[in-house]
Amino acid sequence: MGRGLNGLGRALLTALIVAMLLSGFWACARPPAMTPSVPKPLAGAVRFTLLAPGATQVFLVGSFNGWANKATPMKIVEGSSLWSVDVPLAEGEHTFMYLIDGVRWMTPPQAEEFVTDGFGQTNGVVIVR
Amino acid sequence: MRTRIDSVMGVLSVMAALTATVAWAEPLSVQDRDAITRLGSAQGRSENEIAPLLDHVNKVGERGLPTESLLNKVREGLAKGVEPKRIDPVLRQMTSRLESAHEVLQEAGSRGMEEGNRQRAIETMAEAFSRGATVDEVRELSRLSQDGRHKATQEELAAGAKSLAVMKEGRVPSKDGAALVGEGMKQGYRSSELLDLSREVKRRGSDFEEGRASLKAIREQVSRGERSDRLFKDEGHSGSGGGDRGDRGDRGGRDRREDSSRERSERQDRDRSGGGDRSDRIERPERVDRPERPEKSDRIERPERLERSERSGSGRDH
Repeated sequence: MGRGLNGLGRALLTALIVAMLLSGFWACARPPAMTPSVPKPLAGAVRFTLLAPGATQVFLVGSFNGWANKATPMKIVEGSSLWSVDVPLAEGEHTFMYLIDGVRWMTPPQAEEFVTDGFGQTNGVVIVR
Repeated sequence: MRTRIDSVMGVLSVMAALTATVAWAEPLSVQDRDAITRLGSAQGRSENEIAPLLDHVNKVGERGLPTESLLNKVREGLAKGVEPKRIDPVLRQMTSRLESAHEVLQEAGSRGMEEGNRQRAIETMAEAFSRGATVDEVRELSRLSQDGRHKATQEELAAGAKSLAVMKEGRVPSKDGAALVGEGMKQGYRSSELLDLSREVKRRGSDFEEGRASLKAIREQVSRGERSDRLFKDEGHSGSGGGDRGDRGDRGGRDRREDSSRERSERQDRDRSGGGDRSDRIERPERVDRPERPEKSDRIERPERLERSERSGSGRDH
């Protein structure tokens, strides 16, 4: 009887280990979910992300593109409200905002620093080292 | 024959002198003027409204001051739909800071401090002033930085001034901040190292204020020659540092930044809850980010940080 239980316990333990291994493998195999964050340095670029539910168009506008409204469109991540774009930036500090649907200027919810623009709004600052 | 050669040389000298003046004065290029006029007209602004702004920038350039930050501010204002007459006072304030920066750097130069990148030095120093550094503090930094083996340049002095301003934003007393920045400059910290150090100190401002960390200890580490990226290593933060930060490695710092960002996001939601979106904030600046220190109309204070003012962010400045 005791021996039977022992065997059952071992089988359960093995099943548990296999399940853990599989879930670990599954987690590694899936691409990491993108979440909104402070502009993130990648190789040769910086990734900007913004959660903008209901937006139909989002542009990244800043000192690096001469504040040209439509120069840097962001792409929506399928099945989410997350917008993202990777931009190659020179070393230094760059100010930026998001332009939503061509009319609404939005201060970045997340940035390394913030700076008032002198016109009553606040720019985010991205620092490229 | 000799006369002809002399006259050719004369003409060439005049041409070279003119070219040098143009390069130094950095007047507004036709392309810049056209591009900005186009940007303005896309926003429904006539050439007549924009011309005074461009003339102002041009005059600043003719006086030998850098114009990049001013041009960027014009572009930014027009892109955001700001009326040119509201852009003008912002430009004037920025110009006044550029002039002060030029003067204080000239003063340092007259005491034998080497120039470095002059344009960058002026723009960085102007930003330092906009963020709260004073001429007296710059003089003190200049004095401190010349004591060591490493002789700082004007460009490094400007970065030092900006670093001190950043530390003051983190409520670090001016004297302590100047001593730390001065020590960094004496030890030959690069501009980027000074700025990273100051940002880290600013982030930990409350730790220093409440005695959980000591600026004196940090200064002693700096005086022993430790680089800025080593200073905060023991505390679970990779900290400042001019080196390759990869994913910025600075989880602690980043987490704090993200926390601040979240607070800020929530605050903005509250701002918006009154109705209109942020686009109309351009027309009603009194509703947003009201400076808490009226004597510095362009600075605003947040629970965890003082923010910076009117930087156009024209790329590398440190």
